[in-house]
Amino acid sequence: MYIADIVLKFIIFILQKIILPIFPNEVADFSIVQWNTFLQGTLRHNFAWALSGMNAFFNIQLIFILILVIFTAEICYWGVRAGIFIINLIRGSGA
Amino acid sequence: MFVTSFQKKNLYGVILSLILGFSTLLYPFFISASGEGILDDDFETYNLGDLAGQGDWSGDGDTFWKVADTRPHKGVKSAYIDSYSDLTKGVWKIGEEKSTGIQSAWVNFSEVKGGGNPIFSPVFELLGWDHVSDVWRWLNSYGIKFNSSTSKWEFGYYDLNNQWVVLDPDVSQDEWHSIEAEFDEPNWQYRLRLDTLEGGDWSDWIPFHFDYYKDYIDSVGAFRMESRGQEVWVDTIDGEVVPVCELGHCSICTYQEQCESVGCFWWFEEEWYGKLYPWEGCSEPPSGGGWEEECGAFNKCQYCLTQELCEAQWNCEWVNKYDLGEKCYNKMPAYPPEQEEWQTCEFDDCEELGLPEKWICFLGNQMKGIFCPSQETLVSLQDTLNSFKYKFPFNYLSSTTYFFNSIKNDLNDEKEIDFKIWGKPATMNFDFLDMVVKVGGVEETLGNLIKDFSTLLIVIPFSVYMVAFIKRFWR
Repeated sequence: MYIADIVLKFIIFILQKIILPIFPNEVADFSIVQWNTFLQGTLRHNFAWALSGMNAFFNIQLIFILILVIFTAEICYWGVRAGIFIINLIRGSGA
Repeated sequence: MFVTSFQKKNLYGVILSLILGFSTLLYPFFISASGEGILDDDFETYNLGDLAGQGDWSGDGDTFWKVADTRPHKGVKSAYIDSYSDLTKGVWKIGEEKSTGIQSAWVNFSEVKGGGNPIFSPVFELLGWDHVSDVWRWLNSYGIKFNSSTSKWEFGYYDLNNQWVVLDPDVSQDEWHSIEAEFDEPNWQYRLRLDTLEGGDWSDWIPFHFDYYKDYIDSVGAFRMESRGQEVWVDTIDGEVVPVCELGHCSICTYQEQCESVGCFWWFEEEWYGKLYPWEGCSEPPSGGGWEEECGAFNKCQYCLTQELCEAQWNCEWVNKYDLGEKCYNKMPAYPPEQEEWQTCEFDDCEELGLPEKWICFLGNQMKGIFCPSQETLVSLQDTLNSFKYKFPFNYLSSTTYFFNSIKNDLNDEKEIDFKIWGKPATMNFDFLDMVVKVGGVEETLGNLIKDFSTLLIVIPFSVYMVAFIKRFWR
C-alpha cells in the first residue's frame, strides 16, 4: 500500500460514502425509464421529421449544442445555488 | 443589489430571443404528418349540423351524430353524438381498401348520461367488402364501454363469442384518448392500442369475426363508429400504412440481417445512459456531408465512406454484403475491447535485500508510490467516477444528449417534404436553396448563405445569454 493508494482510497471513500449518496438515482414519480420512453418514442420521430425541414435553413447541430450548453449551465448554476442555500441554512446565517 | 431597468431590458431581450428561438424550432409540430390508409377525417371542412350526408358519411336512419365545435381535439370541429336513446346510433364511411394498415381515432366522452345497456362511448368497427354477396361486413368491434358494476370506463373489444374483453379497466372521461387498430386482413387479425403517446402498448393479435367470410373479403375498406346512451366526441380519424423494413423506414427493422439487407445500417452502442440497457437498432444510411468525423467511433462503421478508412477501424469490414455495393459494415455485434491497463510504476523488489538496503528500497518505493497509485486503485477510482453517470441529473442529461444525437442521425436531407396543415395536404420544396449566388465575387449556394446568416442570428442572442449567465455569479 503506497501513499498515492492511501490518498486515492480516501478520495474514493469520500466519493462513495458521502458524495454519491447525495445524488438520487432518479426523480421520484419521473423515472429515467419514463424519461427515455418519452424521448425515444414519438417525440424523437416527430422532432426528426420536423427538423428535417428546418435543417435546410438552420444549423441544427449548433442549435442542439447551444440547447445542451444552456441546459447544463442552468442545472449546474441552480445546483450550486441550492448547495449554498442548504449550507447557509445549516449554518444559520439566515440565507 | 438593485437591478436597474437597463439590466432588466437585457434579460428580457435574452428571454425574448430564447422564446422566439424555441417558437421557430417548434413550429413544425403544429403541422401533422400525413398518412395513408382507409380513412382520414378531421371534420374541419364540414358544416355544423348532421354528420350523415357530409364527407361521404352515412348513417343508420336518424343517427344523432353531428358536427360540433364544442370539444375539438385539433382545429375547431369534431364529430359529436348526444344519444340519450337506448338504441345504438352509428355512422360509417367508405375509404380506400387496404389489406394491412393502422386506423386510429381520438375519442372523448363525458359522464354517463343514461339510456341503454351496455353504454358505448363509442365503439368502432372496421368493415370489409364481401365481393360474393356485394355487401359490407363488419370484422371487429372495439372501443370504450361503461362498466356499471365498477362505474368505470373500459377499453376493450368484443371477442368471437360476443363477450366484452377488457384491455384497460379504467379510462378517464373528459380527456382525449387515441385508439388505434392495426389490421392484417390476409391473416384475418387485428390488434389494439390505447393512448399511444402515453406509452400504450399493442394488445395481442385478435382474430376478426366470421371466419367463414375470410375467402370473400380481400381488404378492409370502411370505418364505422357507434354510440349508445352517451355523449361522445370523435376527432382526428387517421389511417396509416404499416411501414415495412425498407429504406426510409429503417428504424422499424428489428434485426441486423433484415436491416442491412435492405440497405439500412445496423448500429449498437455499449451504453447510452449506463450499462443497464445496451442499445442497438437500425438507421438510415448516412447521406450528405458532415458525418465523416463519426467514422472511427466504436461501432459506427457506416460513416466510414472509403475502404481505407473502414478497415482501419475496430470491428468494421468493407464488403459487398447484399449486392448493394461495397460498404462499411459492423462485423458482429460486439462491444469495444476493454481499456488497456493503466501505466503504473514498477517498484523495486526489496524482499531479498539486507535490512539497511531493504529500508532504503522501501523508502524509495514509498517515494515512487506518491506519484504511482496501483492498478487496482485506479480502476476502483474510475468505477467510482463512472457511478456518477447513473445518478441524477447526469443520467437524465446523457439520455437527453443521446436523444439529440439520435435526432441528428435521423434527419433526412430530402428537398421535398409532404405535410398537412389542418387536413390540407401540401408539399414544401427546397430546390431553390441550391441556387448559386455571387457574394463579393465568391460563388455560394443560397442554402449556405441562409444557414450562415441564421447561425449568426442564433449565436448573437446566445452570446448575450452567456454574458448574462456569467454576470449572475457577481450579483
